[in-house]
Amino acid sequence: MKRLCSLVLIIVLCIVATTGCSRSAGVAPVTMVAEQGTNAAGKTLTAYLVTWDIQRGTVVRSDAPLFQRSYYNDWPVMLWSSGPPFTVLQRSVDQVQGGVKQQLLMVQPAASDTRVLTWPATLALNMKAQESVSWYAWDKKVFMSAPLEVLIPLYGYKTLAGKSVQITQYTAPVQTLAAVLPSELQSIEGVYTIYGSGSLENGFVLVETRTAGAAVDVFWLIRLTGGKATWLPCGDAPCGGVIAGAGPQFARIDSRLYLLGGCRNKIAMIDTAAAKPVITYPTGINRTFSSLITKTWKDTGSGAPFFAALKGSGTVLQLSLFNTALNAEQTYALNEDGTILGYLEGDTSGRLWCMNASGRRLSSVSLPSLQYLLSSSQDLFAG
Amino acid sequence: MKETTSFCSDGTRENTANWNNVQYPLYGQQVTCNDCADFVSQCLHAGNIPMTSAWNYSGALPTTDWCNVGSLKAYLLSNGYITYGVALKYCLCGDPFFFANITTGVLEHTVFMVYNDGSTFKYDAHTNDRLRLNWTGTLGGYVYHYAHVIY
Repeated sequence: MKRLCSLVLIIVLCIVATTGCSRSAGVAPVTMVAEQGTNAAGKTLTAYLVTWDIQRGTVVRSDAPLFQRSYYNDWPVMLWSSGPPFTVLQRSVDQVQGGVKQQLLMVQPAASDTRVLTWPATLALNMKAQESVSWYAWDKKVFMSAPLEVLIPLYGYKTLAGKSVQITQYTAPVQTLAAVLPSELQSIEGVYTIYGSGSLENGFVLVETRTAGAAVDVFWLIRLTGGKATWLPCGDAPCGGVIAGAGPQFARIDSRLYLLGGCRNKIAMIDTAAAKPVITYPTGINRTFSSLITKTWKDTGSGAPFFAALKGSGTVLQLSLFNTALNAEQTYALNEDGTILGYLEGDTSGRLWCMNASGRRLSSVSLPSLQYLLSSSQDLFAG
Repeated sequence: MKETTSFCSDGTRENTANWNNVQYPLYGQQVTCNDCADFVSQCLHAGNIPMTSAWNYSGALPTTDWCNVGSLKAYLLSNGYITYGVALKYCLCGDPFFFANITTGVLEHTVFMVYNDGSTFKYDAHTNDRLRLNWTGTLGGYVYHYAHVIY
C-alpha cells in the first residue's frame, strides 16, 4: 500500500512538474534594453541588454553597454531590434541648448556589434514634419514610409474619391506605390496609417478609415505583394477608433498583429496573412488581461486613466501594468492562449525580479538608476 | 472640484454631456473614451493658437496632431508653441502637461493646467474627466513633462 501511495505521489508530481514546465517550455529568452543614468538635461543614458529567460527563471544584464544617448530637453522613445545584429534606430532631432536650436545625434554605439540605422534624408525630413510614418523592411534591408494621414482638406472636396495612399520604399532609386482607394471607400473623409511592416514585395500597411456620420471607424489592411497593393476590409476599429489619446500599441508575432488601442482593456488581433484578415479579440489573452487589470489597478479617482503597455518579443506577448498597491510596474509574458509564463517586477531598491507565474521570486538583477526598460520593436515602426 | 461618475466600458471617467459637442462633435458622439488630446487642443485653440493644415479639427475630422497625445506634443514643440520640460512652477494656467509611461517613456495622457500659485496646482482634463482637480505631482506609474506655452 505504501509503495502504491508513493507511486501515485510520484506520478502526480511528474504531472505537476510537466504541466508547470510545459507552459514555458520552448520559449526563447526575451531580450530588453535597460537605459540607466540620470534623466536630466545634458546627461547621458547608457543602454545594456537585459535577458529574461522565462524557462530557466533568470534575468541577467550584459556587462558591456550597447550604446549611449545624450539629450538636452527631451528623450524620444527608443526603437531597437534584437537582430542579429542588435539594431537601434538613430533619430537626430532639434534640441534647444542654451537658447540655440541645434541638431543632436541621439545614439552613440558603445559596442562594435551594435548596428545603428539612420533614416534617409528625405524620410527624416518627413518624420520631423510629422507627415509620414516609417518602418524597416528586413527582407529588403530598406526603410519604408506611408503618409501619417490622408484627410479631406479644410476647404475643398468632400470625400477622398480618386485619392491614394502613397507607400514609399527607400531603395535606390526610391520606389513609390500608389494604393488607390477601392470603390467601397470613395465616400470616406480620412485615412490614418496606424502600422506598417515589410516591403512592397511582401508586406502590409494597416489603416483606419473614417466616414462622416458613421458609427465607428473601420480598419483596412493594404496587402503588398510583388509591388502591388490590395485593400482588404478588417472590420470595425476597437471602441470606434484608435488614433485619439495615447494612440494604438502593437506587438507582431509572425503574421499575428496584436493591438491595444481605443479601449484600454481589450486586446485585438489581426492575422495579417489570412485571406480575409479580420479583427478578433482572443478570448484567453483578454481573460488574462482582465484578471490582471483587476489584480493591479485601483482607481483612486485622483489621476490618469488606467493604462497598460503591449509589446512582443517575437515569441511571447509582453503586457506591462502598473500595480497601484505595490507602486511598481509588472511586465507579464503571455503565450498565444493567454497563459501567464512569468513576470518581471521592480522593487524600491533598484532590483528587477524574475517571478514565476504564481508570484514566486526566482532571481533578480540590480539595475540602479534605471530610467527606461524597453522591449524590442519587430518592425522599427515609428508613428 | 467636479468629477463625473459616468464611466466608459473600460472604466475611464467620462460624461460627454458636459462637452463642447456642437463645435467638436466627434469624440462626444462617435469615438469616445480617448478625448484627452482633443480637449487640450480645444483649450489651446481657444487661447488663440491657430489651426493649420496639420493641426486642425475641420468639421467632423480632427488631424492626428490634434487628437493624439504624442503627435500633439511634437507639433507644439516643433512649431515653437511650447517650451517643453519646464519645472512645475513654470507650467502656468493655460499650459498643457504630459504623462509619460514610467517604463517606456511613451506619452499616454495630457491635461491642462488651470491654476498655479506656486504651491497649489489644479488641472482640467478629459477622459478621465476632471474639473479643477488638485495636482500633487506624485501619481504613480508616470513621469510628468510640464510645458509652457509661448503665445
